[in-house]
Amino acid sequence: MASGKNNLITSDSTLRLANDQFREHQLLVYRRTDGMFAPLMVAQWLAGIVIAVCISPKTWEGAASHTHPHVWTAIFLGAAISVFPVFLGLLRPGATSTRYAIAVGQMLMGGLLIHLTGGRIETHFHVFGSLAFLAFYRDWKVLIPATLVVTADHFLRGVFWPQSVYGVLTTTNWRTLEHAGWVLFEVFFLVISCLYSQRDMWERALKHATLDVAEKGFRQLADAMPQIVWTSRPDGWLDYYNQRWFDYTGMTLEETQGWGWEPVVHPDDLQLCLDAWNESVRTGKLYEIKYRFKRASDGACRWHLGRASAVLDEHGQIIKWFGTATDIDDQKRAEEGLLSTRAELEERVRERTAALASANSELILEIQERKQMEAALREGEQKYRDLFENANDIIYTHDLQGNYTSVNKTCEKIVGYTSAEALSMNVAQIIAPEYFEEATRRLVQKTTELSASVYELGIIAKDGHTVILEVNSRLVCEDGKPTGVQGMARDVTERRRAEAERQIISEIVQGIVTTSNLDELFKLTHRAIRKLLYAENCFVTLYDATTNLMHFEFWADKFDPIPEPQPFGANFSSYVLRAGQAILLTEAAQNHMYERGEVEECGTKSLSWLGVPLRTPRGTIGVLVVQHYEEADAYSDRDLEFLSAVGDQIALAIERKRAEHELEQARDAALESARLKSEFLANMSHEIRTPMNGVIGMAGLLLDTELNADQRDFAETIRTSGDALLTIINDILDFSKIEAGKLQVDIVHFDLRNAVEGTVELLADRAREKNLEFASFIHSEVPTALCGDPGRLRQILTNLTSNALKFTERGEVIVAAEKEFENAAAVMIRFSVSDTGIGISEETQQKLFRAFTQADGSTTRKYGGTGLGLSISKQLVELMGGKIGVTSVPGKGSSFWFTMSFDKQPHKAAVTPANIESLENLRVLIVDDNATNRKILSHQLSSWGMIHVEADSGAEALELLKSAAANGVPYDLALMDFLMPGMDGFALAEAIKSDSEIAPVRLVLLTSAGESGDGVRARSAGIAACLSKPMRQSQLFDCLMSVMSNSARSTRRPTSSTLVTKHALQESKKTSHRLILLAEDNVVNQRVAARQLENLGYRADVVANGKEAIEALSRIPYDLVFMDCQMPEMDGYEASAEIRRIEGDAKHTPIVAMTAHALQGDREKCLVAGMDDYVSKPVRVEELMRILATFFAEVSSDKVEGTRPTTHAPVVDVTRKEHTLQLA
Amino acid sequence: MRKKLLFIMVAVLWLSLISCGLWVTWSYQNTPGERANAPGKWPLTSVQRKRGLPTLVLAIHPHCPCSRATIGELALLMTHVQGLVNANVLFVKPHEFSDDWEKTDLWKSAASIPGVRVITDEGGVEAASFGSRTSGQALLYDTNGQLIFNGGITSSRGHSGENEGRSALVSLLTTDMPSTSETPVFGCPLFNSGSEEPTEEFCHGVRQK
Repeated sequence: MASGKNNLITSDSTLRLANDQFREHQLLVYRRTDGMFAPLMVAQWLAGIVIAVCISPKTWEGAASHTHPHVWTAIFLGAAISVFPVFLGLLRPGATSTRYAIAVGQMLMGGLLIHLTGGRIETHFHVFGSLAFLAFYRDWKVLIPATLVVTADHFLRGVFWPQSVYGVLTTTNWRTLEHAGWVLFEVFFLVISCLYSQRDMWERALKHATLDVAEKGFRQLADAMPQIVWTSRPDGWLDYYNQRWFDYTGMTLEETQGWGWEPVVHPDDLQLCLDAWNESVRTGKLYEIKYRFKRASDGACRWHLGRASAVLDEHGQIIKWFGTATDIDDQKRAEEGLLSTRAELEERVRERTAALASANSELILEIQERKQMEAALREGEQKYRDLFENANDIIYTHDLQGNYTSVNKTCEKIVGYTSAEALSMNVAQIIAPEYFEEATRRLVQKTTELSASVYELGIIAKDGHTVILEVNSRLVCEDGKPTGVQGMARDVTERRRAEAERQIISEIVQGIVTTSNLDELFKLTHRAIRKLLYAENCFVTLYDATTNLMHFEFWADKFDPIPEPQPFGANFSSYVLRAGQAILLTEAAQNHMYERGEVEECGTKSLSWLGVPLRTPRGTIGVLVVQHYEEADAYSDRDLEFLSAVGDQIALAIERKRAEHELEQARDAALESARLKSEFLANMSHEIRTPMNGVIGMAGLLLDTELNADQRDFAETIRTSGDALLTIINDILDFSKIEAGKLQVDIVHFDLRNAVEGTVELLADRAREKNLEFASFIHSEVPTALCGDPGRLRQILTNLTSNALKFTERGEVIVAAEKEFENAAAVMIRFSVSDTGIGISEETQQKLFRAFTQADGSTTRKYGGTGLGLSISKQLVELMGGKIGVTSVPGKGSSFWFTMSFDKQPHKAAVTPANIESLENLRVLIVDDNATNRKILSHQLSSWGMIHVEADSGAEALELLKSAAANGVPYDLALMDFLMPGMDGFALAEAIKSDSEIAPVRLVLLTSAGESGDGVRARSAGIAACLSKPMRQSQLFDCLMSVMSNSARSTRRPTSSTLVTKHALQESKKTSHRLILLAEDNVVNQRVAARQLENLGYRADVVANGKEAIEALSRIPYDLVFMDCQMPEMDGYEASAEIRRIEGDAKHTPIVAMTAHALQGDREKCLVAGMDDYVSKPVRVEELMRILATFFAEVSSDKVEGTRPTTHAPVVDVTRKEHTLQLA
Repeated sequence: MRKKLLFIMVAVLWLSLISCGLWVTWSYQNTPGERANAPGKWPLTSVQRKRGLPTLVLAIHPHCPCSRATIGELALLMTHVQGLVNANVLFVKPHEFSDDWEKTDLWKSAASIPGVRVITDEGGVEAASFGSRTSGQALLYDTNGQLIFNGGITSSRGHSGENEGRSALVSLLTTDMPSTSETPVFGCPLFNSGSEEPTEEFCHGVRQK
């Protein structure tokens, strides 16, 4: 294969070497391919067996089966084909005969497999694949036996079994040629590729041989060089060293190739070396560096110059590095020796120079320090001297004997002695006598103690006055022995003086507050100022502008007595008063003023005179003066300032006392004025009430006579106007009393129910006139036996209820009392008056309780009134510890409420009506369209243990009655309202009585609008009782008791004789045998009162004065006395007192005052006189009834019916017309 | 030299042994089975003919590996004569075997060929009525019930590929100009040698006369 064309450029040795390498390579390929085919053939054999077993495991003959011949063929024939080539491939790899045998066997194996798979066309690829595999040998001759085997197979089968080859029994040459052509076609190209492959192998072998020859030459050259030579790969990995390297380092190639050279490099140079080498490898730049590495023979590290340059290819890429290392150790050491010598010389020069410079610097520094110390010493000395001389305090030293050894200049400023003078003095010479003992003690103490101490010392200054010093001194020692004292002394004279002044001023101010008269104040002031200045001669003079005299309010003097008041003008005090400034006068100044005639001599002449004005905001009112008769300069400017401050305080005190005096005078005048006003009001009240009593009383009596319509209208107008005027007068009087703070409450025992229900009864007529539902409701839990002022309670309730009735046109007005809080001794009750009237806006509610205020102006015009009622009510409620308020919705109504606390009457148990058990468990039907009325009735009936059911209409009532009767539990009673929509009380009664099943029920009619003749209708309707609303709870109880007792006596239908009314009830209780005495001087009033009592069913004997009353009482044991207070001969007070005196403890005839006096105090006056109660004129019949009810207990307003001038007994209660009964 | 001579002798011996083996194998593969004694006219059989279409009847032993090539050739045939022939494949099932014994891969392959009706021939009654003895026996009757082809449609035992039988059937069904009307049948015997239909040995054939 060694081609001759290479001979021109290649030596023979190179060609031989190339040929050897080519052959070697060829043999390697043969062996490797033989090795590949050996297992391949075994695998093909096993695959054949698997194919046979899978495709044709058995052959069949009808139902019988046997192992298919293909299986045996695959096993045995396959083994026969593969055993020989495999044997050769394993035992003789690379031999020519081996690959030929393999070629034949491979092709035979292909034929067998085609047969086993049934001639599948895919299996034919085995033939072509085998030929390709055989080309791996790169020996075209191997393909020849393989091709021959294929050819022989086709030839033989074509001859003997042509259909097995071509599918037909006969074939053509072209078909044979086609089959052979495909095989030859592949074989041709495989032969070509084998030839090319062999040529490539030869060229490669030749190139390797050339390189090997060149490498060998390079290595011989390198080994001959004195330097170390090495090469490396492009990445820096050293792959070659020459022999010089191995000799120097003693290492092998394996140890040092790559990066194995690092251990021999000196540690100090290794990093430098690596960095340089890596940098060159990265950049391709020249590598040059000096470094040391160790020689193996002696371990010495010698310096080398390392250099390396890159070998580049035609594209500039590094293909190799070529480097050398040259030993420069001797040269390096020579250079280092030179450098070392030079450095040593330079170092010596530097050291010598530095030593000289250091010595020079130290010398300069020492000189400077010495200068600085001298300057500091001088400066310190000067500072000390400046401090010593200019200190604010005296700084001194003295020896143990008290002789001054040093004193600063401040001594001269404070005590007047110069330093030189002081140095010639001893401590004892200048100490003030009062301080001498203390100073001596301290000096002795100083000689034994080293500690500093602070104390005060008085020094006699050069000018003779005493200077107070605060001394801070300590003992001075030398060698442990005391040699003297040094100290500082501060002038605290002014401080002590200021403190004393403040103390004195404080004493004076305190005296102003605590003392009540000026004399004491002046004395106190005099004592105080004497503590600070000479004031043995001191006076205070005040100027009276009205008399133009100077009065001496205080006087203290050694020589002169207190003078008489002097005219303002020619003396020093007047001079000060006129000037308004303090003046300090010496004797010379005084003389000068005398000479100029500004003042006149008066009294003993003083050598020092100090006067200060007494100044107030309104001007100067006087002068305070101190004077000294013996000493010319007794007072200083400082004294002047101090005395001026004292004068200011005295002036203020005088001013204050004067103001207090004026206030007292004004208060007395006001009290006198109030007294006169009260007296006037009392007189006015009496004077107005007396004629009013006649007007109202007579109008009432007139109305009770036979009058025509016009006359009755006129009389009604008179009475109504009188009532209105009386109300206004009462309001104004009450308001006046409240304003004057004179309104008081009278605490008496009273019955709450009587007070509330009585109030409601009094106003019932107004409700009837408007057809309003009007009722009172006292909760059963509210205790009624209370202590309080029932009059004021009634006043408030009357006011609120009157307002409610006034502003309500339809609906209802309910007065209620409920318990708010209760304990063992007291109860707080909440009263409310609710209406369905016009209501009050939120804005108006805010000002409702103010005086002279009504809802608005239009209200005043429409409804009248003073606007004082609510204000008075509020004052009364608050006076009694309660609160008052209102809730209202305009258009819906209002609810005024107030609370009051009352003490409970001791040991007063709740009164239980007698025979109440007879009402218990009675079944009652309440029929009323008004829910409030039903609620009130329900509550009352429940409290009596009655069983009740409510119905709001006649129809429902009928239904309930029938239902109850049908169930066998009929109702016993039915309380029916008269006015109900749909079916009124009469109609309901008639309907009930017309039904025999429910007719037995007892019927009670409650009406607020009775008319004459209703009684007849009631009787005919079968009604058992008829009560007018509002009714007292006691009345209802009596009514029910009466009805049930009647029914118990007779079950007959009620007749007129058994009809129960208020009148009938009262008649049954009427006691006309009570004896009443009326003491009244006014004839008109006698007639009014007597007639009112007669109308109430009582007879009264009339007397004209107190004396007659006493005489009458002595003859007849009257049950009650009405006593006018102001009567001729003996007024009511005296008469009452006399009666009480006569009766003593044996008897107590009730006396009720009747007076036109309505002011606070009149009542008390009456009670003090021994009277029991009090009514003011004009006496209203309602008030009279209350009195009678109080003292007779059984009397009620219903008594009026007994005297009603009607022709027959009323069926319907007519209490609503009670006011007309005043006619009597 | 001696080694070389020995090697040559061993090589010759190896080649001879292989040649003998191949000869036996090739002989077996190319020996046909017993030819059918098919009736010339359509026999009394349950196989249904279709009016106006020639009827092809192919008898197959369900487990004969040699017949896999026959079914493959039938599939090729049917791609050429689809709609021109009423093809029926009789799978002979001896009485001894249980149901579905005949449902082999051959059955599934035949059943999947469009236009081919697969019939279980219980006890080989139908095959016998057509005189079939060897698996792979194909018979073609024209529209008049006249037998026009009798033979196999593979060139050797279990050997796929072009063959005269398939070519003859294509010609008969498309051009009515057949190259031949009889071909050898390569396959397993349909019946046991001791049964009513005598067979001398399993899987042997008689060349067409």
